[in-house]
Amino acid sequence: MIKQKELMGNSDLDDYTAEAFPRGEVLQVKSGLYSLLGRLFEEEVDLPLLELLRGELADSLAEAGVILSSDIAEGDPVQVLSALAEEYTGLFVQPGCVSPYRSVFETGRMFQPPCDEAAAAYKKAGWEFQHRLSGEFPDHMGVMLTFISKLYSAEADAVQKGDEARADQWRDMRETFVVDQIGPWGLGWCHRARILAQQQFYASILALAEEVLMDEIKELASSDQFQELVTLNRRPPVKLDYNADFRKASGI
Amino acid sequence: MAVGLQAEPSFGVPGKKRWAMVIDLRRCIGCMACVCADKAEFDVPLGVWRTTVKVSDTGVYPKVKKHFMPRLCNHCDNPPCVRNCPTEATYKHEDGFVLQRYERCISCRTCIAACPYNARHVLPNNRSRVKIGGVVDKCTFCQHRVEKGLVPACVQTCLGRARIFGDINDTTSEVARLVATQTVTVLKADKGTKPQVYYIKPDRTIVDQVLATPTSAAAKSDAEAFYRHNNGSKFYAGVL
Amino acid sequence: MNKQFKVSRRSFMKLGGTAATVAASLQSSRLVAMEQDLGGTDYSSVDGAKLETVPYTCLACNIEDGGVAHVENGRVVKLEGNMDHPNTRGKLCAKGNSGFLHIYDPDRIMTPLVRTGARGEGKWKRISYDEATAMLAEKLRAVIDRSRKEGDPSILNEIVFKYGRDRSGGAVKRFVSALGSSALLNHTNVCESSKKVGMEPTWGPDIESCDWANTKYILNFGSNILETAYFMNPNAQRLVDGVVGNKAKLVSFDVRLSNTSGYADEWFAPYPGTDGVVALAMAHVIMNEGLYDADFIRDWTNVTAEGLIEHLKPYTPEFAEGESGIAASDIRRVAREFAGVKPATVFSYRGPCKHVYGSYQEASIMLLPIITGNVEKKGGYCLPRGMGWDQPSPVPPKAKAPSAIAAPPLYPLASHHVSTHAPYMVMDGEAKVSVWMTYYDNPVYTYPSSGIWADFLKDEKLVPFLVSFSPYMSETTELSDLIIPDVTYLERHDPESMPGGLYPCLSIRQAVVKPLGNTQEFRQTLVDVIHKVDADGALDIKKYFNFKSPEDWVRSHFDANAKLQKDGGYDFLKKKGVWPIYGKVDKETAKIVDGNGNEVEPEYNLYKGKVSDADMEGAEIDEKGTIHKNGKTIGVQVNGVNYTGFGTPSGKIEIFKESYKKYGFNPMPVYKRLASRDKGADELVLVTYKVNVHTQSRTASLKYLAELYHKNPMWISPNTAAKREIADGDLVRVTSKLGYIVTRAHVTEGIHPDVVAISTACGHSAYGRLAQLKHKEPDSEWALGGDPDVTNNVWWDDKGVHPNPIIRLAVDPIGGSQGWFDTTVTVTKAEANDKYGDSQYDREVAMADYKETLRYTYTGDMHRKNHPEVDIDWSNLPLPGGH
Repeated sequence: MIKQKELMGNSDLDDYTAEAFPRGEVLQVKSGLYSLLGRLFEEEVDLPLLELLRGELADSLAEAGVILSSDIAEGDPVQVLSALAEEYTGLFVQPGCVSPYRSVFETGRMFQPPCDEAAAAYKKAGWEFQHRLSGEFPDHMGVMLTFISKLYSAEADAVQKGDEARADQWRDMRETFVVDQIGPWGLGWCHRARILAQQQFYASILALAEEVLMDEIKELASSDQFQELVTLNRRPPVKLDYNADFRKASGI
Repeated sequence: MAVGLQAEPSFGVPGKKRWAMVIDLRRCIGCMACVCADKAEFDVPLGVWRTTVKVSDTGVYPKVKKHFMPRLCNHCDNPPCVRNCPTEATYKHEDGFVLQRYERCISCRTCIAACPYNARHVLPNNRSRVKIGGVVDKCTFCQHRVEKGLVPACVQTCLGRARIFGDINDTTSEVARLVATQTVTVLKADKGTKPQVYYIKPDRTIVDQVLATPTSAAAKSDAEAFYRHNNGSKFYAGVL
Repeated sequence: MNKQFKVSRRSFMKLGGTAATVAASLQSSRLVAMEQDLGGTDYSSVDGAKLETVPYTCLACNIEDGGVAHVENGRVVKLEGNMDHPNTRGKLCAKGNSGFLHIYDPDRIMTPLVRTGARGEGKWKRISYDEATAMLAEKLRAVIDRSRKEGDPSILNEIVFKYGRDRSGGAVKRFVSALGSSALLNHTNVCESSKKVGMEPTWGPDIESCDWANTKYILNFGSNILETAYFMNPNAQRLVDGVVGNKAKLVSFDVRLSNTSGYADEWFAPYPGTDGVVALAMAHVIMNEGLYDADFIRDWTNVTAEGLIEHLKPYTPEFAEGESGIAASDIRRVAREFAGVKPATVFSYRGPCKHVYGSYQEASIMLLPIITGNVEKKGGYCLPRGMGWDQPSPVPPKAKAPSAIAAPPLYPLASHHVSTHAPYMVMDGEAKVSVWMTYYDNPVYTYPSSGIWADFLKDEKLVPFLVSFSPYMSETTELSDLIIPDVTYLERHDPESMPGGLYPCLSIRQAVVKPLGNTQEFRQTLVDVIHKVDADGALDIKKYFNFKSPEDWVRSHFDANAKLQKDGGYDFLKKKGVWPIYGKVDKETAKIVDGNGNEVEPEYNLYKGKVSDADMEGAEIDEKGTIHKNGKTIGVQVNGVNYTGFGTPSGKIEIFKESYKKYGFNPMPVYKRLASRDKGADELVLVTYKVNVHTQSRTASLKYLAELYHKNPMWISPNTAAKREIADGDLVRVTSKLGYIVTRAHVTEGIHPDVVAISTACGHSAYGRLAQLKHKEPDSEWALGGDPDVTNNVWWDDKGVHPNPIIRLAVDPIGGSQGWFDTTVTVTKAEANDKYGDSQYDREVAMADYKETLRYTYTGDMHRKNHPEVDIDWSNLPLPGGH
């Protein structure tokens, strides 16, 4: 179901994975990108991250369309962090938020089968989901993006060590994960959260995430499949499922 | 044998099971536990009901009464829905259940039109837990529970013990005894469907009123909201 | 041979044929039908797999039904009644069946939140449970330190804990006592407190337990037994058994045609607040016509038949007809029927007692089963049967200083207190608040003059720190400074025992699934807070909270129960949910039966237990027969036998209540005409009610229940509506002195012409998106986080209008109950600019109502005016606070 593509030497690669870069480096870059996005969604911005956003990351973020407003760029760190935390909580945590869990997106309820699917994927790849605060589940968008980052990084390591076979395994794992577990909801989620974001910062991060995911999925899915995923993300009626297991629902 | 997969009528046939329900209207208090138990058992989406309880008032102050009328599929011994299904999606099990095979259903709604009891509905495409929609669904008499020796979910939770379930062909069963000893009625007997849901103390209900349109403004506005929401494509079976 | 054989064979056939026609009456007693099991297990409707089953005790409302949760892959997919529970017998109501929806609701609060914006603005920052409990502990410790520094224990009462529904088995009380505060506020005065205060001095406990199934006649006063009253599920089951199975007659008094009254053989709609006078008139008939149980009155009450006849003299059926509108002939007929049938029973709940002087109403109604000798009889009016559990040692001592808001001094008889008064008292400076904790409580929605609660809790000067433990964003919780969310009732541990029927039993609540997403049980939060408050050990209170886990805590309540331990102790409860197991539920009769199919009968005549010789040693018997020992009543001697008797000072039923008289109230059951009885000609009495599918405020977001009931138009009778040119469905303005609401009219025959009724189930401004139909708002495409069912299939578009903003505070000076049904209103067609859902209230009027209701307290001017008949020294009433 996943249309496999060679990462390297493909003409429609993204700007930030220009051909000039060797495979390993491209992968590291991607890993970095996802780790940043993952971190931004996983939890609130803290002081070290704010310093990074203001310093080392500022230019490249600006190029990617994430411009820190002057109050975030220059304001008192304590106040800035507090304002960002408030926005984070309003957008992703408190009742009425755009729930960052795939279970909620797809079933309207927390802790449903998508949770198990995400946890299983992490486990298969050798990671385990560990919550820090209460109310956290493995199918969190931030955790999923972090997972992609880890997979990219692992792939890069394998490439660096010249273990192509291992690298391909990591790649397959990542591509399956992206299409199966992010594809059906990631774009829609980013889109809706962006609309509701009140601060430019989170709106632009969400826009960036949407773009990155869009590219990633376009890359991996056939055009039919992509259309299907886009439709899923708009949440029209769920596709009728003729799986024989469901016959039992009528007691046959 | 009739068209399709209809099992022969088994009411009174020795050696055959014939599951049936007796609803003792003297005992129904309109608590709606059955409605919720059923919704939970099958993840029944909002806007459709496998079973429901109709409520109506009669009389003039101060002599006013309330009537509760539980409704569900009658699991007819001679079900018109089965005869009319062009794809053999709906069929009659030899123990009497009238069931639906989703994978054969083309949602043509012929069965809905054929059912004199409005006991069938098209499942919305959106549900919480069970991912099946767009096809016709109906009460199954909880066949998945009954075949394992349990009563249906609505019977299990019925506070007034108004719902009694069993094999009517077994003369020692409670349903058979109630039908033999109490005044019972079935809905629309004249249709020849041989319904297997029997109502005790029919004088407490007005059978024809069961499918009547809502009369109060509150009920009407609910029905209107329902039809507006569904573009008139569904029958409103909610509580009136 | 052959021929003969043929003949006999033919006769066999004939006999067989005849027998077949009468088969139904030839039932074998050995080979019975293989009846289907009534429950206890379940199978997936999707793939037929057997589900894991864990017992629990329900807490959808407060009836505590026994339940079992069916769990699939660690998720609750279905709830069902527990077949081992002797009182609820395997059944759950609509709310109980839908309760699992609470757990996975995306609108649940899953992590502690601390407020960042203004109060109620909805801006929060998430924090960990550790940080949250530390924050609360710091606030609490500051109050404690100030109290210690100033040497003033009353400062500790600035720590206020208010709960609505506390089923923690003593955890809350332990917590507040450990902190040294007595400011523990319940919700009971918006509930049935005046019923309790009518009953407790009369016979001990605060509720009756009717033997519905075995009775022949039921008189119901203002209770909705089949929908909502206390013990709705077990009572409804057995009431139906009584009416259908035992051919009992049900006569129901209610201003509105509830499902109970609609089911009754006869329905009478008395004028609101006159149930008591109808009961007194019936008692008048029964006494004057000699239909009473002379032996029971003589042996077991503290009055005489002659005295009663004299007392009841004014309450003729004709007088009652004038007050209530119920025909004197009907009162006579029903009284004679009731007294002429044995056994018979009486039930009342939150109708008659929810008026000013509600305690008199309850006491009046209680007369009927007492004078007819139906008390504690099979099929009669029985005492409640519960079981207790021990509090693990050590238990913190009672706080030193009394709190005025927890027990307002002007209400000495209100043993369940007067929680409605708290905001007014704080505003008036009678009490001070530093930390206000709210648990299972939503006064901004559920209290009369609800606007005053919003004003009060928003005021940071009056309430400097507001903490909520709710897992849902209720109207009250959204005003908090800090939320430390509890879990739902399916994820927590509690000991339970509810007198829901005649079989006393213990049960537990246990986590049928682990607290979702590592949320924390309230019980654990209490442990953590105490350990942080006393981090330095200076207060020496950690010892009261030395529990390894919430479950360990609950287990310790049962350690000393030797009988239970013999059956397996807490582990037995874990497995079965309830103890003891009395028997099985008979598949056809639903009676509890033993292994031989014989009914396990409950015990009756509890008051006739014998005082043991050992207990009699050193006891004294006074001239009235009361047996005293060590300053306590341990029983009563009647006709030479030493009985355990009733839980009153005399050991007998005290129709004459000395405690009432002390404060100038009439010691006998009397009728006091209410202000609402003299309403203006164009006015109506506004009553509220609960429906069978909702609790007071917690269930509006459960989709199955919301689908069944989501709007609450105002019931009004056809003539009353016509006089005001109001048609069914019209927009109307309902105006009380306090303010107005704009809602719709539901014209129905099922209501008293002087009454309008609005249910309290709907009209939320918080409590999740479904409760408010937020997803129907145009800009909320994304609103419900994607439940395809809710997002796409919610077909209703009306969330109702809540009546509490216009219901006026008016409190029974005896029992302290809010007079929910004493508000008079005018009802008119809505004005041109009125919109459905508009609501307005006037704070000044609310404050004036408070002052007005104080005039009825025992020191107030209206009290004396209303009690000229009470023969006491009015100038020497006990001082407030001396009780």
